Amino acid sequence: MTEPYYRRPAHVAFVELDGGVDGTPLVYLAPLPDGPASVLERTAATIWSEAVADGPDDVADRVARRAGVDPAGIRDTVSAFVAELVERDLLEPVRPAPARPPG
Amino acid sequence: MADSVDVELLHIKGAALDPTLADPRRAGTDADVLVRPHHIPTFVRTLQRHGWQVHSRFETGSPFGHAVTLAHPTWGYADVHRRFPGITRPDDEAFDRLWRDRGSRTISGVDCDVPGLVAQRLILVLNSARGASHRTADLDAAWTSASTSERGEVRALVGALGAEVAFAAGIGELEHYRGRRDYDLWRITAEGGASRTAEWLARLRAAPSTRARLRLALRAPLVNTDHLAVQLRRTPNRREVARAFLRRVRRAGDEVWSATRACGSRDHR
Repeated sequence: MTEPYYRRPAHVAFVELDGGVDGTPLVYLAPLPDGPASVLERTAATIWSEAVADGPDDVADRVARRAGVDPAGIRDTVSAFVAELVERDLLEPVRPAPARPPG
Repeated sequence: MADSVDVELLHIKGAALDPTLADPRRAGTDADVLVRPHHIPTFVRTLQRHGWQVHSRFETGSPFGHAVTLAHPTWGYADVHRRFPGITRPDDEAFDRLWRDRGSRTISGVDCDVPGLVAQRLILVLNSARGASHRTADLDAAWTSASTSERGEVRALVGALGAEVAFAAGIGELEHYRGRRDYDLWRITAEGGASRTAEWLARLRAAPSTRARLRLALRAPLVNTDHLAVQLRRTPNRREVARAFLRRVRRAGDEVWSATRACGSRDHR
């Protein structure tokens, strides 16, 4: 098993519903003890879940595989969203993401 | 928050239930914790520092005076129990017993202390005795479907915690305890629909000492200001409390009068 690139911060409680309410992924994130709680739906939920999952691939590759799309087309968007999650303290970096050749 | 101030507590019911007892289709509307009794003041103060507000107090919450309810704008409601209704051993002693046999369960990614499986069965049955929603499903999971040895373990814990009467009310054996001082309270609790006066009389009979009875009797006519505040959605003023007091006295009078008439008509039959 390979260490993930990110992990859930210890103070953030979470509930992950793979099937969600209407069959789409849903993640509730609750920074303790004061909140506020965040709800991630659909692609946002998938990105968070894949970011904290074990595995050798980077987050965009895993999200692309789940969504059945080309990783190159979503890499920047995924990276930006992951950075926002880190900034909001809803994700914590564990190890650096692999360097990618430009383009 | 409890960990940050060294408060010992057990998460009970709802998400804290062992998967073998829980109904995955159910979602709770609050969180329940049983707190080491002398840790409660620290815990409640800590909750209040983090935006929780007292919604009802031990004295005003339920006939059993077992929990204080707090509410938070983000997290909703939490019931902080000093005891579980039906357990009659002293609160500290009962908590010690449950704490000693505790287990652990991960709730929303957080490791939480929970009662052991036997105690969880007992708590579900005691909860059912109070006419809880999903009563049948809880009873089935905790008791009806339990094996003989599991039932034996639960019965042993019932004895250790002095929960015989409430437990009997839960599993339909209350009549075995007719004559016990808390029989009436559990009968009207399990059946529901009793008048407030009948409930107070049952509470008086169930009180463990003269002092406790006196305390209850003195509080009987007082207005439940927590309940009134919830109804009004603000802190009631003196005049509103006075009006509620008069309504309360009038209602008690009506109930006593109705009960007297009912007894009289039965006597003439």
